[in-house]
Amino acid sequence: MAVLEVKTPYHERLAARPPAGDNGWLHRLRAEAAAHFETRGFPTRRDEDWRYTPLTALEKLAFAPAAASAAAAIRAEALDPGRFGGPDGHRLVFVDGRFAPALSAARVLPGNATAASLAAALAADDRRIREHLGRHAAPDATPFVALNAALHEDGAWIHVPRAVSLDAVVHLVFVSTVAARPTDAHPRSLVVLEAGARAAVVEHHLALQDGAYFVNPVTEIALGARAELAHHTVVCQSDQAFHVGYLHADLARDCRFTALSVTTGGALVRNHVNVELCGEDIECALHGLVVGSGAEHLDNQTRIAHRAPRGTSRQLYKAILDERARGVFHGKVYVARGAQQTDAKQANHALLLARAAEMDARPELEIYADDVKCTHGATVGRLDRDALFYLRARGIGKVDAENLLTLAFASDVVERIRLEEVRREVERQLYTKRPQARRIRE
Amino acid sequence: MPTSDDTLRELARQEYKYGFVTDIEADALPPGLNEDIVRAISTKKQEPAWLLEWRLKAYRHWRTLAEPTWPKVRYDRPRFDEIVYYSAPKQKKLSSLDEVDPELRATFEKLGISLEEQKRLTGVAVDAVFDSVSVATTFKDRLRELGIVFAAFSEAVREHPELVQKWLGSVVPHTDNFYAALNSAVFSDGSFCYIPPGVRCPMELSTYFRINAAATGQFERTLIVADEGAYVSYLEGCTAPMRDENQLHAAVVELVALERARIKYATVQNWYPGDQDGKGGILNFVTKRGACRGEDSRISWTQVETGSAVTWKYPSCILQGDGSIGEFHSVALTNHHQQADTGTKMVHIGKNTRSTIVAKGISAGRSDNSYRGLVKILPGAENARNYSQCDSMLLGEECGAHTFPSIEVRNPTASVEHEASTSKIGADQIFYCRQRGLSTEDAVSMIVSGFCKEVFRELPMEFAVEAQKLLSVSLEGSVG
Repeated sequence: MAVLEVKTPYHERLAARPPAGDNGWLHRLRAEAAAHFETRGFPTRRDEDWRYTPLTALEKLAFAPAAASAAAAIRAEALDPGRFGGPDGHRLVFVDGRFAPALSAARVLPGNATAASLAAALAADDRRIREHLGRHAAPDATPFVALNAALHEDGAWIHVPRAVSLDAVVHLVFVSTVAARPTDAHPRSLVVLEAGARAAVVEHHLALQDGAYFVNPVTEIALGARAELAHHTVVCQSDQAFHVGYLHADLARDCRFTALSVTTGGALVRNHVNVELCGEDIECALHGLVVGSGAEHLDNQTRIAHRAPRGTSRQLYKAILDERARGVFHGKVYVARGAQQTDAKQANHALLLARAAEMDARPELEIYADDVKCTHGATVGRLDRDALFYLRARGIGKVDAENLLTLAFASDVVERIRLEEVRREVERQLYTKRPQARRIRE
Repeated sequence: MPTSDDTLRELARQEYKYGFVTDIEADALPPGLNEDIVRAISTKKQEPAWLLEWRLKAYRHWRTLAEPTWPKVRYDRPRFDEIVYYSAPKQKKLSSLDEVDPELRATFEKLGISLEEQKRLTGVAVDAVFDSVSVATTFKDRLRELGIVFAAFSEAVREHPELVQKWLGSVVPHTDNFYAALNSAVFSDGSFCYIPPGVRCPMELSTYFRINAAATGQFERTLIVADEGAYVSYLEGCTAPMRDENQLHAAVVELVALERARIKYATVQNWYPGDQDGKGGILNFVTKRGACRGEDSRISWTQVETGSAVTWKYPSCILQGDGSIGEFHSVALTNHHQQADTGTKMVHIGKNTRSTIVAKGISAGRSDNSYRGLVKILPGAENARNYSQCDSMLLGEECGAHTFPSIEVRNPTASVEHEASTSKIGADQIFYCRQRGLSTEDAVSMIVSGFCKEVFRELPMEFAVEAQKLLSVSLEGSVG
């Protein structure tokens, strides 16, 4: 078969000269990634991994980078600081994938830890970045990762030295501006925790205005032995926005890693979480909640690879789908030969609240070791009629009863958010999304 | 006491019990496939023009298709131009069983499927398919009295063309997939069964398939139609002789259940799986699908898969009629270098449709065993219910067990549940049994048959015995 030359809408931008300040090694990474994207183009529905997530609407739009001046128009009040760690919080704000120092609030972190702009660190040619950037999330992982690797301009660079514990939560806030021509952003973040370090990071992906734009963030995480990281992602994009996020974590022995995501908005949102348990005795938990309405398409993709003995992984993904929303969950647990005594549990539950809502789930196990405990469970259904009847029989109105049960359904995941401030933020978004539910709280 | 390594090694050395070749002269076409071969097959079988047209349509469509690559199996792609697409034992037109080639008869005796025995003792009507042409059919008269048609496919085409034409390809169209299209173009024979309205078939119908003549692909086609309120239970059992080369087997089975009809279809598949090094063995690429066309109709698939080098098979149910029920019960055991990618599809279209899936996978040696399934609830399937359970058991450190289910729900009143687990036989379970005087072997055999009990329960008596035996033979001396 002849190799088709794919002319992607990104062709010109990928062929353009790299941003100033790129080093040789980075330039090579970008060129390699650009070549990957150019040969593959966007995935099609024939691509088994994208069967449930058509990209036709995304491909129809020709995105352009946002003007650098757009960031200046954003007022600090628009980003209510109370939501992101309060007046003393450590907060990095990125507008259209570029660091916005005026909107950020950087504190001095203990033990020489860093949480700053990646572009600045790249300009300074920080050796530690060269060791990690592009080493975890391979450019050929998905075409979107390739696009990000080729086009990223900035993102967060978080480094916590050996045995240092960050008590404050690091908030990363990503916002997009809306212009006449839809904009795109490819933020790239790198989180490195040395042995025994501890940290908590929250990525907020928010809409400031209605409109179409495309965000393609990639986060690479590397944890040393015994490190502990709690990573949270909150995605609340505009209902015309596209968001395809990719998180890759490489874990060393005795790590504790949590990745929790809550998605409450976007025309198309897809979150990939890819975790490699490279050492022994790792504990890993991935959780997710999507709350969809309108014509939203919300997709969670997880892959946990157990590569060493005695790893534990837990997954709980829930979806609440109203109106014409469509939810997708595709989770794979992979147990390599020799990863004995792996204990992996995966659960995926979806609640369909309206006639036209749809859920597609693919919980997969791929196992090459015999002494393991691996289970998965998936359910799709509506609210329990008996529970509704019970509540209504006690004088609770239909709408309230439905919302009460829906919130109860979500609470399994919400309660797993250990950080109080993040939980408040998530609840806030839940109530925005389902206004009648607020009454239950009150 | 044997260590688990010893016993696993022993398990891995299991020889194929049914490996022998029957030497009968075969009447075969030259290898390769083109329109002339398709025409020649049709001519040999004295088929009407419409069937030839249908075969040619299928052949032309097949030419446009590519072999599927998504199943989790690896094998050398069959060379379609080297396969003999038609091969029939030379003697034909038998008036009684006595005329059957004694060698063939002996073959069946070795397999424990004596036609006489079957005929006299068990009341099972056997349509024995030896390679591609039916050589013996029994119990026909009794079935004919009830209006039941149970015949070799080619015979049904001659005697009941209207029935065959009406239903052929109505569940698995000739465009369905690569191997279904190939089968539609070149199918040589198979079974046809029609149960008229309100008739309950008084006996279990069964066909034994054997693949013989070297380098002959076997392209069976089975079509079972149960008219309103009818009931039939159908058994399919398979063994094949030893071969060094891979042999392709691409069968199509179509089931149609009209209003209130019920079809039970059971398979025990024990084809030659290749030797210890993964050499040889059958490539088993089968399309099986049942359509519950009428209200309250019911189709159940039960399979015990222990043979074949590579299996690619998804017996499915299209639940069209309101209140129809689909069931799938499966045990798949892989050993040596065997690879199985098997499961089911349940497509819920009608209201109040229900489906149950119970799949048990056992992997040993260096084999790979995958469950792949789809449960699809369409918008009109009010109150549809599905329950799926997939359990895997690994015996040894070099095998793999995988689960790839897909769930697509487009109706909020539906309730879909899927559970899967993977485990091994616990040392404590073995210890418990040994304490009570059982040998390790017996303990493993007992635990595995307990693991599969839910499926065996669904098998008709004759098969349940055979299936139990098959599993315990495969597991002799194994410890998890």
